Amino acid sequence: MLRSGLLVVVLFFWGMAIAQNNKTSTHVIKLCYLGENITHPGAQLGYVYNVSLNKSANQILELGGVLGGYSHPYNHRAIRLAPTIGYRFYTSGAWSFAFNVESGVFKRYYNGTVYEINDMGEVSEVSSAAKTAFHIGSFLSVSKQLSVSENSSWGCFLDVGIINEIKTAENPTILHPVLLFGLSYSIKNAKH
Amino acid sequence: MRNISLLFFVIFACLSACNKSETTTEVTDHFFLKNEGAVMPVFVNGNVSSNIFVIYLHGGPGGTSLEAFQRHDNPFTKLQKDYAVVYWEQRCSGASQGECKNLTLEQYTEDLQKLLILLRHKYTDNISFFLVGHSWGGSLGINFLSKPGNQANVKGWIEVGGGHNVPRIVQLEKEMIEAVGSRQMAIGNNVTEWQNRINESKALNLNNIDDVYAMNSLASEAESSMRSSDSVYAKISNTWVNEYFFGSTEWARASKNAESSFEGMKNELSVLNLTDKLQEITVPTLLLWGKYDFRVPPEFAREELVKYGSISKELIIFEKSAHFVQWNEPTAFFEKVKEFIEIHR
Repeated sequence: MLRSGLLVVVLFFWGMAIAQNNKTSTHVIKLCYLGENITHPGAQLGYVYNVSLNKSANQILELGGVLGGYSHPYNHRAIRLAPTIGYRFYTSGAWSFAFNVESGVFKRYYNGTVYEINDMGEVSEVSSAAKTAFHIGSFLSVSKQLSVSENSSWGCFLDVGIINEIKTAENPTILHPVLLFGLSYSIKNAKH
Repeated sequence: MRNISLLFFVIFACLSACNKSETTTEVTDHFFLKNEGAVMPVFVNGNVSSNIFVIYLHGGPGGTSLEAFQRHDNPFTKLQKDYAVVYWEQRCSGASQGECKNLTLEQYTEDLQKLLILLRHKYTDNISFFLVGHSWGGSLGINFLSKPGNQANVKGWIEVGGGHNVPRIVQLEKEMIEAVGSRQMAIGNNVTEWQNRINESKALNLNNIDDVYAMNSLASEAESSMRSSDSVYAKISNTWVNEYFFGSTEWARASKNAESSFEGMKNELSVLNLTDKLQEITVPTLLLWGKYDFRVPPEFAREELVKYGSISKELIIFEKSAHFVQWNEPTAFFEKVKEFIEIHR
């Protein structure tokens, strides 16, 4: 599991090296719903730097990062921060499909007041933060461009995937099925 | 875009409408008890001002107190009108978080002691407690009550299919499978199934730990056969959709919890025998058992009733129940529990 996480980080830096030679760049901001399921409130903000892998620019290497959080009522709240790397393929129409992997930090908070009682029977409130865990994740994504202008475009996307907290004493390897859906805004710049 | 929005709206509307008339997710109070690495959720629902708190000790180890939590016809939900009901997820069970360690009866018992301290701290010192222990929860309740001073604030003890003497129970499981199985075959019910089950149970060596659990599995299968022949009512439970989308349990963790609890407790549990402690329990006691409880046969309840130290004690057998009286016959269960509490409050 740890090796998978390290592999994602290595891939990320490899992608950044490729990006140095890229003639055009596209910056994408993504805002979406994040939750273990669609009844758990949450949100995620992401940034993606697109690198064209061929002349027709229908194959893209995506480098970026995400910051998101959600709340599972009466169970836990979680925040995650991770660099991401992925491959996107554009169809001849406005649709595109992608596969992304990520590796980052997963911080869990118990969703409620936590009490502890010492040997004298004295009750005290204690922190609701659990120990920080690392995680890896993988997502399948489908996107559609909604409007396109000369240097920018709007789109919407739906991602389904799995986030896997890496095993610690408090986390016996927990898989979170995750559903993301939201909007993206892309800006295209020529490199000087 | 309009189509995608419409799709999400339809999905959300469907989920929101799922069995709405049958479900409740109302919570009066919720917090966590942290002890020795475990972070255990506690729900306190209902009439807190009554100062009568009914604590449900779920089975397992590794089960959950939230099994039919979302249903209006849950007997505990009905009790909430008059009393506060405490749904406590034990360490390494159900919606519990934190570390799965220290899995011993003594540690679970210490957790329960601290739960009572916390409830008195949060509400009032004058709480009258009633404990309802199902299956493994029966063992936990008995061990707790047998500790010096622990019966002081407890007004009554209700044991439901309690499995507090495993070596004796598995012997009775074997006898019950043979006796009931023979009767079922005589009337032509699931003949091959019963014959195979009887043969398998005869082949088991109940001094072997793996065979103890194999016996328990056969008992569980026997209950399914009785259910299929309509001798036992179906259990009420949360629906999958309601549980997944609106429940407080994290499914992946609950599954790991159950696995870890079994691994951590299986040695201690296979030889667990608390029968000698029953004479120390003097609070009013009610035993509620299913007629077709193969996992903890009603014969065991008859044997154990006389060993309780309580002056006020009673055994009630439910005709259409197996191991989960509270879910097989929720209305009758509610009535008996309420009657008991009203007499001894």
